[in-house]
Formats: sequence, structure tokens, C-alpha cells
Amino acid sequence: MLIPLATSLLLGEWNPFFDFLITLAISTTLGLSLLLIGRETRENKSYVQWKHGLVVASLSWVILMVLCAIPYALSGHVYSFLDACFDVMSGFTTTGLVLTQDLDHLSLGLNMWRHMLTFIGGQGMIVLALTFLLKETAGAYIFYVGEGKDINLVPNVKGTARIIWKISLIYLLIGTIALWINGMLIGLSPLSAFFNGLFIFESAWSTGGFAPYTQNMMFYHSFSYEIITIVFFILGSLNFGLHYAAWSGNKKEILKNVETQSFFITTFITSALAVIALAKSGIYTDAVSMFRRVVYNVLSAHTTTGFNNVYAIQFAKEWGDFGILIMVVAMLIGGSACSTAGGFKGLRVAIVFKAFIADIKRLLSSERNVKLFRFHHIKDQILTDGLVKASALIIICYMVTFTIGTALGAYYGYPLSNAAFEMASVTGNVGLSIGITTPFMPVALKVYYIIAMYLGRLEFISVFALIGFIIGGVKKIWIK
Amino acid sequence: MQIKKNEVKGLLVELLAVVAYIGVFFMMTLALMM
Amino acid sequence: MDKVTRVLILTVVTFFIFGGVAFGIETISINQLIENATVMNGKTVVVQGEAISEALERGNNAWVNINDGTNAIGIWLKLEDANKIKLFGDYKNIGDEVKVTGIFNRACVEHGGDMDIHAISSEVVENGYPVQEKVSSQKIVIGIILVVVTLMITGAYFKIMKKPNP
Repeated sequence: MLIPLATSLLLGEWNPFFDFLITLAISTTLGLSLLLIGRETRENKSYVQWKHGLVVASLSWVILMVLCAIPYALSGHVYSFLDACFDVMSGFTTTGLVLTQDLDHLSLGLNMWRHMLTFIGGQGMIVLALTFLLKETAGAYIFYVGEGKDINLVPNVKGTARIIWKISLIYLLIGTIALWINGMLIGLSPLSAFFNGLFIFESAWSTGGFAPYTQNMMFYHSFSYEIITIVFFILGSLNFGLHYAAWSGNKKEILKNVETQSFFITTFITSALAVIALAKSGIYTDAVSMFRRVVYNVLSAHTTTGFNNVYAIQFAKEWGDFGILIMVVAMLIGGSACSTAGGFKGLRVAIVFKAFIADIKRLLSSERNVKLFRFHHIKDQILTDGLVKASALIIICYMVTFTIGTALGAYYGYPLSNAAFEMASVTGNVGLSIGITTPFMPVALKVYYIIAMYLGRLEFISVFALIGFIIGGVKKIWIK
Repeated sequence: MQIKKNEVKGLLVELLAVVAYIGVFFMMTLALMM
Repeated sequence: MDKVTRVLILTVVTFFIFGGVAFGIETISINQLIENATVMNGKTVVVQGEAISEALERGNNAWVNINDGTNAIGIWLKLEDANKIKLFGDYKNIGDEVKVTGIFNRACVEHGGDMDIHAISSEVVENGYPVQEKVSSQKIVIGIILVVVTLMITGAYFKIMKKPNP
């Protein structure tokens, strides 16, 4: 909060200055009050269990969402406090759907805030993930192992966390500078090019998708600018374990890793199919246009970024049902595990796919052979049934969340393909809109989207724990 | 925050890999448009 | 055909060609234009909106994005025309209101598939102005009160934390 506060102060934006001052004051007061109230518990050295940690994590998100919504609400750019919460959740979960109005006249302070939230949201997930690894309680660990996550990073968690932040900050530096320079080359004034560079980098790396203007990527009218964003949103969607490996000298990992392989295959197929679909329509007649308006958006969708350089209505009117379906699949598959991206995650898709192949092979081979199947993710790992089951279960959770949301959209009268597109965008924390997300959408749908963004980002883990904890607590009271 | 030579190499390889990836996709688009 | 008739026909035809432009094809809202992109593709349209942020100079031309409240779109025009726009909209300013007559492209080949308008003519119909920022006294008062409360709690916090366990 101090950064936007300083930004507004320096630029003489007085309304946002007070908005952030008020928010800062409320947050600090609340935080300190809670610390004071909880002091006794701390003094008595109550044993903080892992389940408490999870509940705290889930609850704090809600409190955080409300606090961070205050600057939005005070700015006058949102129709309701719910809309403000929606945008905060959209930022934290690096989704990128927007209900804030009149972005073109937004204060720099508030824009700083929005883009910061998405950067922190993306990074915060990694730090949160690592903290989970520190707690190592059997229950949670199963979910984590279920993702085949970074087991070899555990012994050196602190060092790993530091490297992750280092990687992000170095990319932040390089990315902002690259966009800053390119920004000036395409006609932005130096100061403007700097802020745009910073904001767009934060949005790309976190695969968030916010932009400081109503037109999103269309504002810049620049192929080079778009290409730079592709570079950083793809990098941002990659597994941090992969970055860690590559930066530690193990560069071959980039090619050997099952997730990069999966990502390459699925992005290639979805992009190719989309190009074919749009080629049929004849709208884009040259490769550059096709690459910019089709491949760019498919990649933006698949990495769950959400930058768009076509208008929302164009997805509805020009892409056709087939094109929309491809986008839905791309958005749901998503990016890599342990990254800022959303969706099922390439790792799970790869695991389930390999398990499928393995089962067929087992059926066909002699019954006396006991075959062990492997895959490579950071290190060679075995395709165990437990792993496959866990991956499949989480994929099912996503599918269920997606289906309910799509049904809800259809219930409210939106065309099925549109409802599916928007819900895939929400579930996968993408941020592309086909036009459903507006301040005037049905409240129930708005609330469901907020919950789904949250669930999708946390990959259901905390929610299972929370539900289990609540059921456990209720049982205890019942028995008494 | 020190940056080791190893890390710079890793960074450059990653950037190169993504640029190559984009190149492949552009080629694919070109091919499909023929 | 004698000369008089020929001149008459030429005049009428010219009238129709340029009359459309000069006599106001109806101004269309940007959002309506976008929603009817297929039908409007290649047509000469008139849009009017506030110039946003800044002009992006590209050689002898420039992009000016305009927002008319319904949506925003990029206008491709000559640099001299872009320089006629003095004030652009942002947090502190309402930008010049620009009226543009131009050709609408659904997927402009020159600009990699961009949905844009290539201006034939443009004019500033209303000058922009800096917005007087007004912070409501309510906000200032609440802000100050909250800061005081925060400072008090911070003070109390440190005092209480210093005390030994009761």
C-alpha cells in the first residue's frame, strides 16, 4: 500500500492518496488489534497446528480481499463494493477479468495498485507453496506429491525461495527495461513508457492480464510490443522448478521436462486448430495478422495470461463455436504447476495422458510383466497410481467447478458457448472475456466467479482442508 | 544480490528458447496460411 | 449527351460521393461499430470521442486512441492531424473531443489485423481541460481520524507488548 501511496503523492493525485492512506490506516489498525487480542494465545504458546495454518490462509484471503478493495471502492470507478472485491480477487488470482470502469482515466496510484496486486498474487502463490512444504504434514503432503511437485527442492527451501524471488526480480528488471525501450520506440513518452513497461511486465509475468487501458493490448498497436509480452508471459507460466534448474546449470531440463513437452504439444495443437478455424472464415488474410490476432490470443489463453488484442465481441462473433471450444480447452489446460499460471496444469494433463498410454501397454503386454512407467519432471519420477489418482481428482474438481459455472451462465440466458468461454476463463484464471463479465451481470454469477477464481488459484487444496476442518469441528461439538 | 555466471547463462538460454518457440509458431502459421 | 447534362450529372455524382462525407453520415458509437464490424467493414464512418493518453507517433503518421464512453478504438492519422490534438485524457485531464471521418477496417491488413479507422479527416470539436481534483472534506476528515487512531493503536501495541505477562 505504501508504493501506490508514494506514487500518488509524487504525482499529485490527491484523491487516491487519501484512498490509500485510509486503507493503510484501517489495515494497520486491524492487524495490530488482532495481534493484541491474540497476544494471550501466543503467550500461552498454544500449539499452532497445520490445519490452523490452512484455515488462516483461506480466511486471510477473504479479509485481504475486502481490505484491498477499499481503494477501488473509494475511487469511484466501480459500481459496487462487490465489483471492487471482484477486481481484487481477479488481481490476486492473476485472472485479469475487469469490472473497474473508465480505465483510461484511472489514477496512476490505482493502476500501480492493480498491477502490483497481480504481481504479488502470482509470486505469493509460490511463496505460499514453499511454506506448505515447510510444514510437512502427511495430509497436505499427499496433495502436493500428487502434483509431483519439487520434492528435491525441500531440503533447501529457504535458498530456493530466495532464488525464486531473485529470478522474478531479475526478469522484472529486464522485462521492464525491454518494454520501456520498445515503448518509447513505438511512440510512448519516456515516463509513460516506463510505467506501461512496469505494469505490462507485472501483468505478463504473473500471467494476470491487466493493462492500464480500456483496450488492453490493442492500445499499443504494436507487433513488437506484443512479442515481448509473449516472451514474458510464457516464461511466467513456466514451473519455477524449471527456472531453478535452468539457472542452476541444468539447461537440458527445458527440453526433457514433461511439462514443457506437454505445453509445446497442447499449445501447438490448439494454435494450429485455431488458425485453421479462422482461416476458413477468411477474416485474416496474411500470416502476420493471423499470428497476431489468433495465435497470440490462443497463447494468452493457454498460459492463462489474458492479454487480448481483439475485442471481446470478436471472440463471440468471429471465432465460431469451434474456435471458442478450442479456447475453452486451452484455458482449462492452463500453464505449468508451481507457476503463476492457472488451469489443470500441464503436469497433470501429462501424467493422466501417460497413465492412459501405460494402461493400454499393460493390457497388451504379457501378464507376467510388471511394468513401471516413468516421466521426467525436474528428476526422473515413477508414474505411480497414487500420483495418477491425485492428478485426475484435481482435474475432476476443475471440471466440476467449470461445469456448474457454465450451467449457471446458461441458466441466466447466455449462449452456451459464451457461458463456457467465460467460465473457462474464470476457472483457469485466464482473464479473456467474451462479454459476459460486466458490472450488470447477474449477482449470483458474479459471486460464483469470485469463488471459482479463488478455488482455481488455490487448486482446491485449502478448500478440502477447510471443509475437513469444519466437519471435524462440527463433529466434536456434536459428540459433546 | 549477486548474479552468478551460471545464472546469466540459464537466463539467456531461457530467453533463447522462448524466442525459438515463437519462431516455430510463426512458421506454423505461415505454413497453414499457404 | 450535351455539355450541360454532362456537367449536371458530374455535379450530382460528385455531390453524392463527397456529400456523404461533408453532410454527416451519422456519427456512430464506437461500440456499435465494433459490434457490427462485418457489415461496417470498409465503410466510411464518423466517430467522435475523447483522445486518450497520448498520440503514438509512427513516422509520418500516428495512432490516437479515442474513447467515446461506449468503447475505445485506434485512429490512424497523419502526424500533422495528430498534432492538432493538444490535450489527451488521463487521470488529471479530460482530453480533446475529436471527430473523425474515416474508413473502418475490421482486420486492417496494413496493421496486422487490427480493428481500426484510417482517418480521412479529423477535427477537434471540443477542447479538453484539466480536471479540478476535489477531495471531499468527508474523505479528508475520515483519513485524518483513521491515521490518528492507527497511531494510537500502534502506541498502545508497543506499550502492551513491553509489559511482562500478567
